[in-house]
Amino acid sequence: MTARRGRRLRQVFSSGYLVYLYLPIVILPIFSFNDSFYISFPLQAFTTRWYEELASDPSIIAALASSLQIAAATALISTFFGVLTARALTRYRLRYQKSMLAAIMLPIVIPELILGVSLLVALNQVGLGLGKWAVVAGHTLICFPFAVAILLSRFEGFDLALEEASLDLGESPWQTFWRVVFPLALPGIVASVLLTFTISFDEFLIAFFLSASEPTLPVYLWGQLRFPKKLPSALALGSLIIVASFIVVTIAELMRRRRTGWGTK
Amino acid sequence: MNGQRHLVELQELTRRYDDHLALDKVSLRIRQGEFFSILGPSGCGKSTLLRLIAGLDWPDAGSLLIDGRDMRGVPPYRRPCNMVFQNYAIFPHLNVRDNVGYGLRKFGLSATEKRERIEAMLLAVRLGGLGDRKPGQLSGGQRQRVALARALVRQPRVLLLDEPLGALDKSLREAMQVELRELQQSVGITFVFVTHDQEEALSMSDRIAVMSDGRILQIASPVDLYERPNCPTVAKFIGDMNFFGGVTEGITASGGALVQVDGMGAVEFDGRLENEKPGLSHQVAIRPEKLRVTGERTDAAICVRGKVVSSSYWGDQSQIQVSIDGCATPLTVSAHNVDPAGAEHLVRGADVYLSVNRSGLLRFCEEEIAHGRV
Repeated sequence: MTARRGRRLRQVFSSGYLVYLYLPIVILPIFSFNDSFYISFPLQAFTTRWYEELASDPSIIAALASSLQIAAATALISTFFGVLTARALTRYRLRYQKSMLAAIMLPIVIPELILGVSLLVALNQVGLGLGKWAVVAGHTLICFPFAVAILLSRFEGFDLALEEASLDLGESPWQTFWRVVFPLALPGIVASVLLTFTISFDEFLIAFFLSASEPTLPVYLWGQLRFPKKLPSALALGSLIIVASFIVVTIAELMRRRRTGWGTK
Repeated sequence: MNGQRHLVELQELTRRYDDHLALDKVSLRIRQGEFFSILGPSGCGKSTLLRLIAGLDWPDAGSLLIDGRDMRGVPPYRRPCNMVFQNYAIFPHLNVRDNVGYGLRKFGLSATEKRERIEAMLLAVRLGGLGDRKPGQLSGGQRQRVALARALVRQPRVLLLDEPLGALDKSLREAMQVELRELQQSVGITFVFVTHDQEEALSMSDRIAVMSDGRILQIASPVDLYERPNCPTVAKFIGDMNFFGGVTEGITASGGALVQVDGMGAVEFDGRLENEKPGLSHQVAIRPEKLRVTGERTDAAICVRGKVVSSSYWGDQSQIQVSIDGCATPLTVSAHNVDPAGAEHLVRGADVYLSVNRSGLLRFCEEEIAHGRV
């Protein structure tokens, strides 16, 4: 009896949690198809005009474009350095290895507000100015630890003998990297690119401080909330981002879990 | 055949890891076309030796020559040798054909030439028709063959094998021993084979180097190694050995020695130990199968009375412990069960006679025991 009650409790708890987690998110797409400026029940007629409005707004398209550019650049840069770092940490026995890893992971726990403000000050002091590249710099800072974490799990347990076998079979270290290490690490690399892309694409605070006259999508969206009439199209945009993020993260997770059947043991 | 040419030459090769001396001035010469085994317990430095030849590790001192060329500064991908790794290290993302063809990229072969060479190699290691398989779909024995084919297809001067049969079960291992030996003879490539399995080394090799603690104790043919080990460590590592104390009584007119052996009385030996003089105490040794067990006294050169302490019956042979007067520890005797009823008499407490020819006795200096201790 107690076992059954325990299961019942678990069901109630987990379904309640899921509702709490996802109901607010579901509201977004629902009202994005609602033919009314006001976000309130009862729902009015079904419409796609907010999406049409969205598509015809050049500033939204510009914000989307800069968000995509920033996310792409951030994903590639942080994954590139992530590969180098993860490989160095797993391939060699380095001194201060643990402290190094801790230092790399630190940006995850530093509040983005602090990072945003300090980057704002620093970039202005150095005279590099703000804009897209400033945001890429800031996003790389927060994405890099995630890239390292994902790639570390891929490179750990990587059989060193495979690289030695490649060297033994006549390939230089550089060729060995491309013929053995890279293909085997590819699922991890793809997962890292997709995850860091999503993090950068969704990020608001740092982008808010650093984007200046080139707002990213979240920053633009925030700006639109001041105008009630723009709210429904902001919901439409939000819905699209949710769907896109969901797809990207799912692919990343699938790639990460993919086993290439190694294990030569 | 140019059989006496030295293909691989190691001169006082030394490798140190932190405070551990993995190789201590190892020198050896491996002949062209030879099946050369390096035998020793785990941690003796044999794998390090192989990795130094392959160029995957670097010596702290000494030199290595392959085919007369000094290998100093030559990276693994420019050495005329290939390796079969202990766990095979087969590329998991490539199928069997691409694994075997991996090392052919720089050979300047056309696509068809390359394909033909791979297929021929696959047939040679009896993997014909499995070219499209992924490594995950292969059995242990098949993976071993892929590793072998991948190395042999490059036609190296030397093939290095790092315990390649260790991961296989017993029957497969025995079949592969025969196959590997035949393959080596048909391709004529020099094999350097590392193993900790003495039977494997004895049955396959032309010559064997026995290693312990980073040093080579003896290099000899399988028969020499077994019948004429140069120190007690080698004697104990290869097969079983019974040891007795012995004291030299005098030097004979013919240049041999008269020795008082524990439990056996005075025995005359043809040879002499280094610096042998009356009063020198040393070790005398006998292999278990050199002792013959009988119920009656025989007219062999040495025949002593003993009592069976224990016996275990293995079918083809029986392993018997026999105590004799004047010897603290019982002797191990392996008796082949030629007579169907013979083993039944060898019960605990039975009185028996042990006979041995003088040629079955070996002698070692005492200090060698201290030196060669494992």
